[in-house]
Amino acid sequence: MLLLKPIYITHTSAITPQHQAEGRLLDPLVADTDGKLQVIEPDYTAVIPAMQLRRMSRVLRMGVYTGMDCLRRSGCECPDGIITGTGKGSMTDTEKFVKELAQYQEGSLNPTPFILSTYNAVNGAIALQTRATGYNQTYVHRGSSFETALYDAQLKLNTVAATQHYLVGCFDEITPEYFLVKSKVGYWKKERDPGQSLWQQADSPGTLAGEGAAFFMLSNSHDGAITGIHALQTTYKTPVAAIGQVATELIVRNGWQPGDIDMLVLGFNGDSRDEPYYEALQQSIPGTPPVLAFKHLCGEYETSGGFALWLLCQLLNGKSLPGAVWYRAPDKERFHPRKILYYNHYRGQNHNLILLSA
Amino acid sequence: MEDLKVTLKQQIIESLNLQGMKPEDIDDNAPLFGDGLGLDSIDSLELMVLLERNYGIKIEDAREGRNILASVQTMADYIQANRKF
Repeated sequence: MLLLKPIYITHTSAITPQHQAEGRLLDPLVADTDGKLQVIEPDYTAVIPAMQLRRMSRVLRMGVYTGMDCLRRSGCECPDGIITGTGKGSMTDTEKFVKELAQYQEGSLNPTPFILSTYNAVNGAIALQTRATGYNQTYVHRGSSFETALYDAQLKLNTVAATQHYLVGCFDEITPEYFLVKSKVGYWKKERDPGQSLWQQADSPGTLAGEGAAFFMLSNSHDGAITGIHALQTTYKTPVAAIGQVATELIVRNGWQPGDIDMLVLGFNGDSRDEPYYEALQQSIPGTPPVLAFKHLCGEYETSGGFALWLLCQLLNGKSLPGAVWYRAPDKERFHPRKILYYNHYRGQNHNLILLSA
Repeated sequence: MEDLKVTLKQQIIESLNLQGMKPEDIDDNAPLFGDGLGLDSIDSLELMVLLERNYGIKIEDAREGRNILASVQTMADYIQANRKF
């Protein structure tokens, strides 16, 4: 199998349920409200022109703001490519459009919700603002949407010799209807002890609902890199018993050994149906490396991996993380991991593995 | 007629989500597109939906639509002459 060259994250931006200042997560951490972790929204008018803003629903604002903010931080005015992943796109616009279809009996419908319910609306808005006419792609691969976008960026950046910069991100939202429908099929935890961490309550099904937007500047040049993405793999409906083997094969294929991994980023979500995968993966890595968890901070959603990567970048950028972030904290106060394995899955169906270096 | 224009302005503000704008901010005769209110082609589709839902008016001819949607005054004139409800 062809080994791809790593790609590098140079800048990040995110809208999250947690308070932040200059990209640093602030203590105290924000807990969920009624089983939901909803984002703290910034002043969008600072970044998005008013005439565009008036048409955008919440998740579009989140996505466009974060993408443009990431570009601003990087100093890049026009990226060579824009790639995003989203599990649901703009649910608000989709729900509005579908409701109007029924209400007006498929008669004349408002065009705006239809146009903006399309998954690539965020990419389009960013491309219009930056006049970016290069590669532009949106992946809607449920729980592997973001990781597929990252993988596409790696493939694209491996095809060119010159230095290029891609804007890669993800966005998803909770709407009241979505929360209600998914609560009926047992997605969310019914009874919880707020005094315990999410993963300590994995003896019952259900988790917290989440949302967020995260964007990254990716380059094939190492200059200014926060971290390198070496290899990505997405799999579908991998059994618990096989996940360790999948991870080991990816590590070995990349020229590393399982014992080289000195930090894990795992998507523990407190759901008794989901936790065994993370436990199984831990068993495949020798020793007890520190484990960064993230779904107690951002909730469960299809593109929560964007939050995880943003959080990891804060750590690798030398910013201290609140102690409650860790599933298994490092022994040393100043911890500098070198080889990192990220594993996150969505409802046991979409499994995502990434090898990163610092 | 004056009441109709105020109602129409309110409907335009709501339909196009013109945040921070009040009916009195829109001049009756100012162009809705281009230099005036600065609306665009998607807004023109929204205004056509507005006319159909609120007044039963369906604009079939794009050229005619351009003249009807020129300003609040032209819209109100057309509504008064052609409204179904």
